[in-house]
Amino acid sequence: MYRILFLLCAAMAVPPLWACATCLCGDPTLTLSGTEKPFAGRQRLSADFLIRDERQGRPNVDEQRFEEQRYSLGYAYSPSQRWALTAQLPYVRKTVSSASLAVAETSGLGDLELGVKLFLQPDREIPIRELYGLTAGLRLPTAQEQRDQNGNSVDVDALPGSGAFVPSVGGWYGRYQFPWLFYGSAQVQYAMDEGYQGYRPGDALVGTALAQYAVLPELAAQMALDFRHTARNSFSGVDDENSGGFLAVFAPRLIWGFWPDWSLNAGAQFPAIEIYNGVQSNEPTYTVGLSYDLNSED
Amino acid sequence: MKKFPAIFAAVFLVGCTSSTVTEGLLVEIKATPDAPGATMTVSGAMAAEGEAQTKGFRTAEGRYVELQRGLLNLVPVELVRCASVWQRLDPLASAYAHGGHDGAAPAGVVDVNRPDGTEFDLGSLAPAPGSYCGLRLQLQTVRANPPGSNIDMLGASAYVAPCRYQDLGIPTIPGAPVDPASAFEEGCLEAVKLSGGIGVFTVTVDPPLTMSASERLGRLHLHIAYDRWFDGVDLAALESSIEQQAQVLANMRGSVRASGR
Repeated sequence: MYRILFLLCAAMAVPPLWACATCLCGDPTLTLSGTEKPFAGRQRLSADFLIRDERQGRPNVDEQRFEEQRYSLGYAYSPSQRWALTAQLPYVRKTVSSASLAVAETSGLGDLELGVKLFLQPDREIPIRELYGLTAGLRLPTAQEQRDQNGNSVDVDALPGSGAFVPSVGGWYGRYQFPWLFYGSAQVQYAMDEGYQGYRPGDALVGTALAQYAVLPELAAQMALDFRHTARNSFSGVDDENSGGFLAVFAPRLIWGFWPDWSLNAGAQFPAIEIYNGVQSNEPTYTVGLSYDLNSED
Repeated sequence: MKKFPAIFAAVFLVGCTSSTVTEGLLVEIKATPDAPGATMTVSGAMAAEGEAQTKGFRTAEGRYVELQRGLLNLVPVELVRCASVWQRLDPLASAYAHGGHDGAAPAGVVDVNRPDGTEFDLGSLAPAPGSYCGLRLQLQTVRANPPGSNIDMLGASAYVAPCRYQDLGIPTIPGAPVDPASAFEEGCLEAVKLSGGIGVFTVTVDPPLTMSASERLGRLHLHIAYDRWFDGVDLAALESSIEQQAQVLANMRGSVRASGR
């Protein structure tokens, strides 16, 4: 009984993926690969929706506002108990508005995110108390560079993707003591090249520390502290002064297993510590997601 | 293996992209050489129209100077808002606007040896709505030499090649017509590269330039009175003296005035 509840709670620990090209905050592997030890042949599908609002520059002077809605479809597959492979593709709608009354609106497929999660803990009898391992990922420049109604290139800030290859590596740790789950991770991202219009995302360190409590067998409440530390973005080798810095957010979340193999999650990220380069601000981010295990372990 | 539902099907719009752009407010900035007291001199054959010409003028002290080459790299930095009541420049409310992601407006090297009135494009700024009484400019260091030119300006914000003349007993009257027969050449400086130093300065825009949702395109013209560049300058010491070079740069900044729309 407790084993089933524990596994269900562990499977629910799947905060959504904040995989924006420039706003990633938190662990990008949790959505699909989960935190529980996988079994060979496990498959999971997920659909997530995110909405966020960010500003750069001085109001009524040179401010730019970035509004984004992101719909992501993901798939995870575990070939063995040691590996989880993930793929996630977003559809992005972006609006960039400037103090000069310029507005750019785009929609389209974003950058494909591929990931692998390695479980390193020794084989032990259940109940499992600790899991830990490594992660690696690659963001591919699958988003198209777009042109406006007059045939001019749309500013890269408004594009669904950056056009750059961005690999990442990291590590993670999970501690399981039903009804509690404690999880932490960190990941480094590095842009290999310049993307569209000479844009290069700043190198980033992202991570999360979360605690989850199983309120009911089918309902878990989560509180996380997500963070990112990013170097300045650059355009053709020249740094963007109003970019990069450090952001930490409080991220409450609810996960509801409303049906066998199905779970619904909803949460938000509220800025808590903001130490930016230049003039920037972040509004809260809101997410909702749905996941389905195609073949849960009996 | 459990049967899996068909709910995940038909969720995505695959390959559906669209984009629309609404242009914002834009202020185009042009610069023109403008020294009514100067004359173009012709040496040898008649120069073709539009080509660089040596220009002669008198300084404030009445000294006659011929400018063989005069270039300055003038870059618009930001528009400065008017204060509501006193119409003074309010530095706390300055509207910084940049023309692109490289952090700097497109640079324009202004060649004052072109005929007066020749327009040079200094790029554009994208301001927020409001009234602007000033334009902040910078004498910016050149990072690449002007295309099609054999002049080396790398690392400099201005370049001058003046010739100084000694009048022989002729009263020196500023603005008086020059009679070359009354002067002889004391010496010419082939190339003096000047660095901008502080570089940033503000010129008044009078009347103010007002930008709004209904007035989305503005124009500013910068008039460069190059015949003021060597006022109070010892040309004999210009090549070697940092103080004289700083004076030329200060004169260059003071020689710029702006007019709107």
